[in-house]
Amino acid sequence: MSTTTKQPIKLAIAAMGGQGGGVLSSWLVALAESNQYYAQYTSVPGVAQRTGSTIYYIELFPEELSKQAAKEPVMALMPVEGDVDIVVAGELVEAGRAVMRGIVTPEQTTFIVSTHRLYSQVEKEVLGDGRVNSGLIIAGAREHAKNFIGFDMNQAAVDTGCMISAILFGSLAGSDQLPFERSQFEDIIRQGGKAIESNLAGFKIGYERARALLNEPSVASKDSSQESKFKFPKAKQRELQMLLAKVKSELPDQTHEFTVEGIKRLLDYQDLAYARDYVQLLIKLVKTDRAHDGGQYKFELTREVARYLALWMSYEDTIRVADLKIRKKRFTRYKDHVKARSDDVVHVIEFMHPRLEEVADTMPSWLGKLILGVTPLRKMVNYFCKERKIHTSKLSGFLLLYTTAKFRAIRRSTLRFKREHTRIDDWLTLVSNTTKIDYQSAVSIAQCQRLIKGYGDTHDRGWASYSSIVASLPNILKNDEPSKVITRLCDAALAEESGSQLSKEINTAVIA
Amino acid sequence: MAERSFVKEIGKLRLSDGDEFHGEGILAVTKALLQSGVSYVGGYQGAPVSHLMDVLADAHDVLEELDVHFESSASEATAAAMLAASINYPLRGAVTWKSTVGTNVASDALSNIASAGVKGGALIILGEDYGEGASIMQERTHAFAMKSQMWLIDPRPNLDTMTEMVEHGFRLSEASNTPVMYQMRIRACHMHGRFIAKDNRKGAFSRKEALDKPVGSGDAIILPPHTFRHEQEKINDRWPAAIEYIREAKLNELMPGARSDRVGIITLGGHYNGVIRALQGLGLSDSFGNSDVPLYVMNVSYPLVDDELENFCRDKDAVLMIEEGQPDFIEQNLHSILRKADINTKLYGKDVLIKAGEYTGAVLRDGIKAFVKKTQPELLAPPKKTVHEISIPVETIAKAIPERPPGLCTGCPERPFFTAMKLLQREVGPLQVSADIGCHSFATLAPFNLGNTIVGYGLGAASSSAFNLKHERRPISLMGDGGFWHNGLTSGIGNSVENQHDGITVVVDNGYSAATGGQWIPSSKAVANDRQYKIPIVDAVKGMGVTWVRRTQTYDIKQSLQALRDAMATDHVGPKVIVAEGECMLNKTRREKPLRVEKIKQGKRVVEQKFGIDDDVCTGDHSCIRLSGCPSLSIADNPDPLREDPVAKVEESCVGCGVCGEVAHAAVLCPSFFRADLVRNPGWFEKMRYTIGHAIIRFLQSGIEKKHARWVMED
Repeated sequence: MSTTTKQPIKLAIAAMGGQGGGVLSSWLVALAESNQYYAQYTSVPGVAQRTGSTIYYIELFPEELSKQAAKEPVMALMPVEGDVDIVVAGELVEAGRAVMRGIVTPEQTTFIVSTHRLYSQVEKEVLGDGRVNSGLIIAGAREHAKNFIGFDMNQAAVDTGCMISAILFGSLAGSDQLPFERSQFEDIIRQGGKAIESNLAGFKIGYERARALLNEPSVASKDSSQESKFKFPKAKQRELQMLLAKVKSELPDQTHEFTVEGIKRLLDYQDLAYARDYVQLLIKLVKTDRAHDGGQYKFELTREVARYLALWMSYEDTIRVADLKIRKKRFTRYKDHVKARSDDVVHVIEFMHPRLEEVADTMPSWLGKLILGVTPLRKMVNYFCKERKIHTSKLSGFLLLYTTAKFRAIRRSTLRFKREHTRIDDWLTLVSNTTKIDYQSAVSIAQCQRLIKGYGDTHDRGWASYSSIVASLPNILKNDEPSKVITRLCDAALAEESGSQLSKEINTAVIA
Repeated sequence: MAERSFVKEIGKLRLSDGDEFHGEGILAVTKALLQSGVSYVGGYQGAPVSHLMDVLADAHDVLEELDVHFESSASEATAAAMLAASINYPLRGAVTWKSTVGTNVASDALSNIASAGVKGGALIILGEDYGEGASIMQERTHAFAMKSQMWLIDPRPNLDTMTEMVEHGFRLSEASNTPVMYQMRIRACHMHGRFIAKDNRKGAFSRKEALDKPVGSGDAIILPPHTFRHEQEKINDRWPAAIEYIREAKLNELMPGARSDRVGIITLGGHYNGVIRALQGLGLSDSFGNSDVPLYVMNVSYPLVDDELENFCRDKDAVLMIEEGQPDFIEQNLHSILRKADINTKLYGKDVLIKAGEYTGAVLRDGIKAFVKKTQPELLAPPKKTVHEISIPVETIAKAIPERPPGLCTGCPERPFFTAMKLLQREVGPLQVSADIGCHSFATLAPFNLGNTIVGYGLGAASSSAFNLKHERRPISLMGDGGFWHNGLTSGIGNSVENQHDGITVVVDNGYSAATGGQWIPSSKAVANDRQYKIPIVDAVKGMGVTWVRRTQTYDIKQSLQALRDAMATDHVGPKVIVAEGECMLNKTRREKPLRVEKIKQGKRVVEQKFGIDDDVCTGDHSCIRLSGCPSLSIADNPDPLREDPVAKVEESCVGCGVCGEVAHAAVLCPSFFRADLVRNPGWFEKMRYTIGHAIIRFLQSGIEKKHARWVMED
């Protein structure tokens, strides 16, 4: 490390407003100034700091050299593309943005990156999955830097109970790119006077991880790429074990993972008989699959149906929601969420807004139909359909949900059950029939189940999207690659909620 | 003045002769004002000069000792008018605001003061909001200097020069009887650096002396024939006097070049550091600014000193003019100067640099390189070529990077109102929304996308004026409380009464001038020092003659939605005003958090609320996110092995504002939201009841567990 360079040390911090870039900058300024360096620091507050992306920029220059020259250094107020020594990014997309701005270069830049994600509004609001490809950004960031130090510093901060700034500051020290000793860094945290212990602990972690990553850049990140290794399980309960054995013998290996998950889910949702129904439907389908060369496609059809049939059969009704809300693990969840100790008093409040339709759905189908059909009855029930705050942690609230969950016993007779199972049967028939025309299209139709999710209006909208795709299926099948068209329509339905993109896509698909 | 404290900064204002000041540029300038014997200071807050006002507003003792009057002006026009005190009296005064927006507002007063001329030094500190991070349209303050014949200082961005130039600014103003504008770019305002301080100084003349012996002469009145005389004076007396002072005091700096006298660079002071860095990058300067090519640095960008420029250009083959933004006033002026002096030096400028946009480091480096290459290429070292194999080009990464514009903060009270507007749109159809300037401008972005135009601060209602017609979907205008008091009360509300406008105006009342840093305004609920605020906006609106007025609490989405529905449906003809109240969460937290911590310490009962999501109930549709946009409402991997789409998740940063629950209710969303109330220091009865209740709950839960345990599977 050369401290006698005639150029200032140039350091940029790419972060989001309010993410701690200001704290890190002030530490760096204090570090420099208490060790005979000039520090010039600038930022762009104002609107850019309200959770938008922003850049802090610092230049450091030794006072000694300035004295020799009898002149003060002239330092820049913004990072110059291709001329930054150290770039610190407090979040992965901001790291990518730094590369995009050209301030990270393989000739010069040590790149210190927290690889965690804070999702942007455009990624979050998509109806499906709108997240950007983190792997690509990490690989790109690594390639464009001279040295790359990247790990999930947010997790490290959460684990240590410190600010992320402390981890970043430690990583900076560990990167060995600044002409200051470790103890000089730590002194600055002590002088800051706030949360000294936790910040020093965070600093240590940042320092050590950075050192390790610098010395062994190749083992850098082994993030989340572990392949799930599925092992076929055994059950203690005899009848369940028989069902599992049936799956093993009658369904192809490729479908086992989803099928077993499906069975678990339906046991949790209803009972063993319901899980048997599920397996029975799959066994019926696999015949069609086999008859159409399914082996060649690794039985993708049965595998996908195994997944989506389980989801559809465990549709979210009032009974299911009540059931999930009263579980023990759910109580642990909300207590952990507020970091409560075991003896703390924590109340939980649910925000329920059952509509007339949901109430009728939970009734036996004859009663449900009656409620919906007879106006005075309808009005009476509707009177009770108000938004409710339910205190599940209080006995009265808990018992209300506990009783609702008990409706599981009559679920098979409810209006909703009848409706969903009619739809499921239609879907399976459609999938099965389509297999005869085009295997891949059948898979795509099976996957369209993904659209039908949520509650209330959301569920209605999803069903409408699904229905409109199904309605135009005969025309879609006239295309060259109908399965791709179906997938495209499915994506369009998930792109925005008004449905205009879907109808536009359907129109083009039909004409094509 | 606000919920923040500036004790540390005020300490820096007290530094005396020889002390070293370490801190921000804008604070250094504030200190320089006190060193210059200023008698009064005013201004209107806005990035990047808010800090000057915030600090002075808290610095009562310092101001009292120096007999300085400070006020937070109602608008930039008010601030500019304050300078009238310097017209007839030798009082030094300074005002500040964000430019060019503030200068637009102040122009009426500025033109008149510039015409009358000043006896006391009048300095206008302008935060030039241009380039990266700017929140306004991109224009130059330079035009105002030219049209009103005021002088414009654009100092080199280091604290020594910046503070010296403040003092020179006052002297220049007095020497030429002209108000002087002092321009700071956004990064210079927020630049941390150091300079050697001087003692603060009391003004030689006091405001009391002015009232003791008022001076009034027709000379300064803006009526003919004085205006015609002012015009002559500006050109024939004040202008030459200014040039004389600039030349004598050497405000513009001539820096020799070590390797060339054939080419030269003329730069505005504000760009100097960027130019030196660019020259360094090209191997044409060292870190101390010792350049290979001569430089003429204009710390005063208006007026130009013709003979200095002529001398610099004469005998050179070519010069480069570095002047950011459009129009290129100085380049044009320089052409005229050279032509008239019959100097044939070739002038480069926006032909080698970019025509419009910010002069970033790379733009300057590339521009200067192009200039040197054309004029004296032997100065440039041969380029070093290092080739790195890159398999993921920048363009590929760029495609993956989503935009991240600023947005409403976590827990912001304005968000639920915009949710209500979005829900209204679902009921009645798309709306014409005239937006305004303030935090609420962010409603124009995702997920709300509410707002068709923004034309100026406080002008939301005024910008709906043309849509005064009978329509089933009445136009909606938005206005913040800041803009309301700035001018919206008259320009918007008053105007709509006068013209019986049938639209709806929403005044978003968060209790502060929030977007500029949380300063207090007349309707703030706080009690500041000895001043009482709390003027209800509703009263002001009624006072203006509006009869249809509703108040809603923004966190109550249903109430807001109902108010909007009523405003749409009512038979009432004429303006309908909804005042949407909810205190800015950032400032509320600043005030309440320390109190809460204290209460917990004292053993008092405190409930801490946080929202959460049951990830097994959430189906990953993200409707909630599309109706909220809260930064703490995010997404996470779906824990369900059968599902792919990420589930919603409430981040650690949640402040428990309650909007998530409100949205779930009002929009009939999903039951996956919950609120967890952690009770600190519960009473014994509460604790007992909780313990007993939970014993029963746990018993029932273990029954459920037992049933499910039958179905356990093992690998």
